[in-house]
Amino acid sequence: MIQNLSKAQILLLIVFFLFPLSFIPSSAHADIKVDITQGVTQPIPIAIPAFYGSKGSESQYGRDIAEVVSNDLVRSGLFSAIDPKSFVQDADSLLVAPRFADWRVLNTQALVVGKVEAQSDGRLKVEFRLWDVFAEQQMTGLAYFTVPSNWRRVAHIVADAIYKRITGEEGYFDTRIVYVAETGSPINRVKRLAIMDQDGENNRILSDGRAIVLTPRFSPAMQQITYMAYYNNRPRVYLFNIDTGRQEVMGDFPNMTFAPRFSPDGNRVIYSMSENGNSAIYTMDLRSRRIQKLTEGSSINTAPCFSPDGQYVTFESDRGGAQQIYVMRANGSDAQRISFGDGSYGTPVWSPRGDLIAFTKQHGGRFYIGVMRPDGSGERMLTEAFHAEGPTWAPNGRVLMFFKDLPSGSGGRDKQVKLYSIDLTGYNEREVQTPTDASDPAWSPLLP
Amino acid sequence: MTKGAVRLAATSMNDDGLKNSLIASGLAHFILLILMVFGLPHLMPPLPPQAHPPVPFEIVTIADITNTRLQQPDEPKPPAPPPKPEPKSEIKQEKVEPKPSQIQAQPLPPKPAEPLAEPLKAATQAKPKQPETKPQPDSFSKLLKNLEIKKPAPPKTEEKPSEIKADSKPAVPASQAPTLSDRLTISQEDALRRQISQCWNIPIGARDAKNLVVQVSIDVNADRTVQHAEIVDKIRYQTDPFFRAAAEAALRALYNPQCTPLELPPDKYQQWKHIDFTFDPRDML
Repeated sequence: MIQNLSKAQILLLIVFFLFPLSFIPSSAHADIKVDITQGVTQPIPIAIPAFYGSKGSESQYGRDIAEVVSNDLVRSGLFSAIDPKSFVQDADSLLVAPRFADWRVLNTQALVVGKVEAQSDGRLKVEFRLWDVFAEQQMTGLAYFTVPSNWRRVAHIVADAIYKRITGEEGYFDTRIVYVAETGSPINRVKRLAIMDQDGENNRILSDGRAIVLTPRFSPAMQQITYMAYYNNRPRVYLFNIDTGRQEVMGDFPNMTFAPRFSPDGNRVIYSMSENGNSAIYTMDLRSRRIQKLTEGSSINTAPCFSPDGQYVTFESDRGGAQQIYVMRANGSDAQRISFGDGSYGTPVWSPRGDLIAFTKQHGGRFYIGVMRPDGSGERMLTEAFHAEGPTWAPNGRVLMFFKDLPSGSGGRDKQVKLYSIDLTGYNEREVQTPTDASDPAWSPLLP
Repeated sequence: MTKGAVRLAATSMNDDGLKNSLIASGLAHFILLILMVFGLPHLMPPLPPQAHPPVPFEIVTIADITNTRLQQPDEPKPPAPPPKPEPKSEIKQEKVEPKPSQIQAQPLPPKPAEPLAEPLKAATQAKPKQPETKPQPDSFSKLLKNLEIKKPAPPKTEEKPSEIKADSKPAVPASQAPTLSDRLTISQEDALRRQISQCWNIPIGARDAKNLVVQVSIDVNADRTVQHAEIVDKIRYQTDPFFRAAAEAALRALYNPQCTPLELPPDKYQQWKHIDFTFDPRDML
């Protein structure tokens, strides 16, 4: 009989029988809804036992790698390392299975279990697993093969992988810093180009000290640094290839040039050049050496920096009377002032993630390092000092590095210039250890 | 009978049938009209008048200060049953180019955690210490440091007593609540809220942290431990690493031994065996 019914009739029948069901009261299902709108900002407790190694040399690498990973993560301010003395499992038994209940007692939230193994071809195999202790789940697990001399880089890469998995953001540990290494008396100061890992290790001096080096900047393409150097009292903009050590004069300009920076694609350099007491902003195409002038008028426009998408340029200018920060289109049009606070603003640097601009501010005889959004809103001062300057962003836009001057005099001490890093939140300010005085840092992108 | 007489008889019979039909139709319409006006007759004896039971009302005072205290760790905690390990296949190939340093990365296969018998002693002894920093409302305004405040800060959400929030969003729709006296009081809800707040590490400083609102629905064991917690927005969890990090932070808050067992009234299990949490950092950024 059913077969004789049309589709419409069947549908009608279904509706007819189901309709009364809608009147049956649903069983009392009373879910509680709780909004959590407040929390804490505590570092995540992480346990990083020495990576397991079956032989003496492997064990040593295992200990060293775990230490570097731990230092990287702790320095970020987002993690706190569980004291190794309280570890409840050794590296050997951890490889079988972590005893999560025991680690939970230590309030461990994340656990890193690693292993170092020498390969027959002389390379090292470094593997690790990151465990979520509460959920008892593996969050990530990776293995790396490298020559033993590269163990430190592998450690940074492991730290980056852990950081990324837990915070969702790219890490910044496998990066380098170029800076100006300063030695000598205040009158006869020697300023040389130097490079180091972001944690202060592998420090190398790149220039001989005959020229005074200023404002080194990394190319997004990594192999190159641009910087200014006074050689025989002539300022020049140089390009320096880190891998080959080759140095090249970018241009011999008749006038004073300042603050060269690469465009995000690495193909252009943006800088300012003084003319008749004023200064204007220019870009130069590195392939064609073609120069384009972006600003006009009788004012000082300097310290330009591209936005990460290359569409805009932020710079400082005194066109409004005081030195303030402006944003314009990359072709030089539509300049808008974005800083409106008291004091003077300078050296704006666009965050690699695009959401903020860091700057230096001078007010009331003090210097501040601050951040604001590209539209000028949300201005915050992160740190202040007798003299602080030169903010540079970590490639993930979470951390800034800058330098601070400590005045000479007190206790017969000479003037000191040191590098510091600070978290975007304004907390976790730390000195970056350098062998000499150091200024004008520039953070590299992640190493390729 | 002639042919013509037969035709006549048939016509008169047709006329009669039409007339009867008309009468029947008219009657039916009339009865329908009567029924519509006066309704169906009551065939059953009328039901005795129903006595409505008195509805108990609980008078809840919305005080400025809640009468709950922060989590007291005095009572021994029942051991948390180990959550079922779910092997996840989230291993991704990290982009590590071997070029300059000859470092090659390869993903490790996931290793499911073995469900270890939870040593009862270990769970009850060595009580994790209370976090030193209690979430004071004042501390939240300092999450993002600003050395120089230009303008007086606008009255921010930090002053907002959470009771008001609870009041504006009733936890249980009244129509669905079995009995009002069984419902969690606002103070009880507030105790839970405070407890979880202490264990929730907010994604401060993350990009677009204000968009990282995470909804988690949990099933709770009778011993007030979290039996199962589930992220509501599973698609975003799998596609957005920032959201995944925020969601995992929310899960860590719920599974944190320092926040176990949940501060819930044991006698109202039916009410709290399922809870929907929303972790919303917007007020703190």
